[in-house]
Amino acid sequence: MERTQMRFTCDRDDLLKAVQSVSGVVASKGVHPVYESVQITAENDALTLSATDLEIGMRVHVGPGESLRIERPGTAVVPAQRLGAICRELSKGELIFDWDAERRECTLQAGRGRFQLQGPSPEDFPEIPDVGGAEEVAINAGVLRQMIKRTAFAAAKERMRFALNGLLLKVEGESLELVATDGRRLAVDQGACTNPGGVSLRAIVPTKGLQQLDKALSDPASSVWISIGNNHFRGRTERVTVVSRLVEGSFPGYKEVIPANCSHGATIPRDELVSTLRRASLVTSRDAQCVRLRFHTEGLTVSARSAEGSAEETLSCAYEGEEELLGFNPDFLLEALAVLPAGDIAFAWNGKASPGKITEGSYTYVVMPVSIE
Amino acid sequence: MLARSILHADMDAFFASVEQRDRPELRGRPVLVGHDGARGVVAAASYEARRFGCRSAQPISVAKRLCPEAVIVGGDMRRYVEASEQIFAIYRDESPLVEPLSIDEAFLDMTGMERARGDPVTVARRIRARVLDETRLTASVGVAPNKFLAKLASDLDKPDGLTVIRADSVLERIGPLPIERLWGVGPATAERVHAAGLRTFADVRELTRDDLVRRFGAFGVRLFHLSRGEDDRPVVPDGAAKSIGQECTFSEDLVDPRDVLVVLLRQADSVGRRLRRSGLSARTLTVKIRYGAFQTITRSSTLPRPSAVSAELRAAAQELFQHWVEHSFRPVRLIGATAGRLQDGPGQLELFGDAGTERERRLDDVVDGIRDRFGSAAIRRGATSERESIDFRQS
Repeated sequence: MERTQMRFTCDRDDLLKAVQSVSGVVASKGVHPVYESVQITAENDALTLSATDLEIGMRVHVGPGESLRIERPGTAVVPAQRLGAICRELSKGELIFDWDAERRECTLQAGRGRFQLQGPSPEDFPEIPDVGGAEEVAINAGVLRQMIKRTAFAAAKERMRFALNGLLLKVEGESLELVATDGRRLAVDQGACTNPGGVSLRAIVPTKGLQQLDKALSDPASSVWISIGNNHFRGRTERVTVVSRLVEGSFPGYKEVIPANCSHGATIPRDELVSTLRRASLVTSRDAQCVRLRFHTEGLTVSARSAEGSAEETLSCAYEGEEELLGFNPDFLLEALAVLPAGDIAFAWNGKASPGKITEGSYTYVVMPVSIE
Repeated sequence: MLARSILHADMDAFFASVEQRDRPELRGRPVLVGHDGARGVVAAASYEARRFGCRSAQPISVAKRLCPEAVIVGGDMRRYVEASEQIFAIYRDESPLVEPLSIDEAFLDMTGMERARGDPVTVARRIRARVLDETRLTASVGVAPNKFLAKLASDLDKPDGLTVIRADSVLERIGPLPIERLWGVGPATAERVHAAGLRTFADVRELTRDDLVRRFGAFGVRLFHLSRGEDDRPVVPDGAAKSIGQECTFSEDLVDPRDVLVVLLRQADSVGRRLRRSGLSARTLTVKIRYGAFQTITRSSTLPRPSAVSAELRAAAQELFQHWVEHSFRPVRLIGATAGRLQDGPGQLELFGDAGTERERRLDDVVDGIRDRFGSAAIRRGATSERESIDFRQS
């Protein structure tokens, strides 16, 4: 039983960062202790931390490096929350990690501190699924992060709209596309990728899976390798791997709802629009979340009215044409404006009951209006 | 704070005027509306009767003594409600913010509506003209920067008057008015204020806020502000209806849940039709169930989106009921369906037209059309097939 004892030393910060990174996919309390745990494997002068909430799995590698020394290889399973909390409180610098498999007990020492933690039985730790030998495409981490930031917020949050509860990930040629919608607004962004195998991909990835990947991508210059297979999505860098089950169901035909050849268009300064909308939304009520945008030759007048009060403000905006009055949920506009850079935004639409469209480079956002009498 | 424009519109001797309108022989004569009995009270007195000192809320016996020649009519609520609906339709057409105070009285907020509706005095004139034109009744309207002053104004030139109190003339307009004009000041309070040597609003203004609080407590604070014509209460529309519902009590407890469900689904249908007729959508559906020894429970669910589609209301009702049946069914005495958190129109529009919903909406249109022409019994969803298709798993 040489593997019953495991021992390594490393820098406290390296272990803390890795534990925090995988903690995001640990199952919520009450399922089974083993799913609330992180598995730590020490072998070949590197550590691998794994965790899963049974929908999303994550692996983070630490080392090899000067501060990591594996004295006895092995595998430990330790409660994730506790481990993270203890690492945070231990003094900086060298940390000694011991695991006694027979007693399922881990000992952490750093400086003068010494902690012991009881773990669940390691044999029960679930295997993290994989995509098999699927072809991968590569995309720049910074680009992917921006794409996730600009789309994921538009995905459905309510459980009932299940098929929309994820983002459509599409790869065609050298282009990767992310699409998110909750049925009322839609966000699409594209980025260039390298596709050595020439694969075409199309799958719905749970929002949380992409958000976990986003959080784990610390170096914007690095590459992320993406693949779909075995009913799973995988995104990996040299240090981190995120695997997620795919959302089943069909993604709605989103291309048809993106208005083309809009009859009306306006150019609006983003920052001014944001602060005006924020002020106007102060007087909207939960049941009447609507601001009115009146486009006219002198500019754009934003107004809101409810039992709580009323607001009206006019800002400069380039608009030619007949006066037009549109109603929108202010949050749907603000959330999109929040991910766009300062400067002018292009807003276009086709008439009263048709959607409004904001475009910026490769990015398109479509939002349905609120009917106003 | 934004300068506000508030209208107070008040019908003149409303019930009595409706009677005089509908019965020409009553015109020009003192009319009392109310039950002519020992405990009868005057619900309304025509202006001819008021000259004799008759007032609403007076015992009929007292009014008769003051004005023996008065004609006493029992009153017909149906016609009053009908007139009221016409009047409020005009108010709601003129302003999105209408706060009803009673069957014939309302506040309208016209703030910031100049561009869309014209200045508030023009709106007030138009409302009075439209009310007269459409109901052959007269309304008095007050226009002012707040609710307190607007209500005060509408009363200054009654009947058939229009009074405007502008922001820059508030103090001189209200200064000479007796303290009794203050909203909510009854004889007892007036007595206390008079005892302090104060008769008019201007008198009250002479005192500091601290003085007033010392003498009148919390009421002193109100006096301080109102005597200066200050009142920042908002106009709060009640949104016409807060909910639309229907319920049914059975003469005996129903033991078969399928029988109850058939009734519930029909109720959901009819609630949907009433929503559509009022141009409203509901955000919630509530099922009310009474069983056993008059125990009543309600179960609510939030609809995936605001809806007036019968099929969606039925589905929500059925799901709630089915859940209750599977967990704790008892023979049912009463069942009801109510649509709540109502809003005008469909609200947030959807990006992806759902063919199923579209079909249901068209079906509703057809069914509504048939029922409008031939009555509600003319068409109904197949109740028998409905009953057979339900498979309850009772525990």
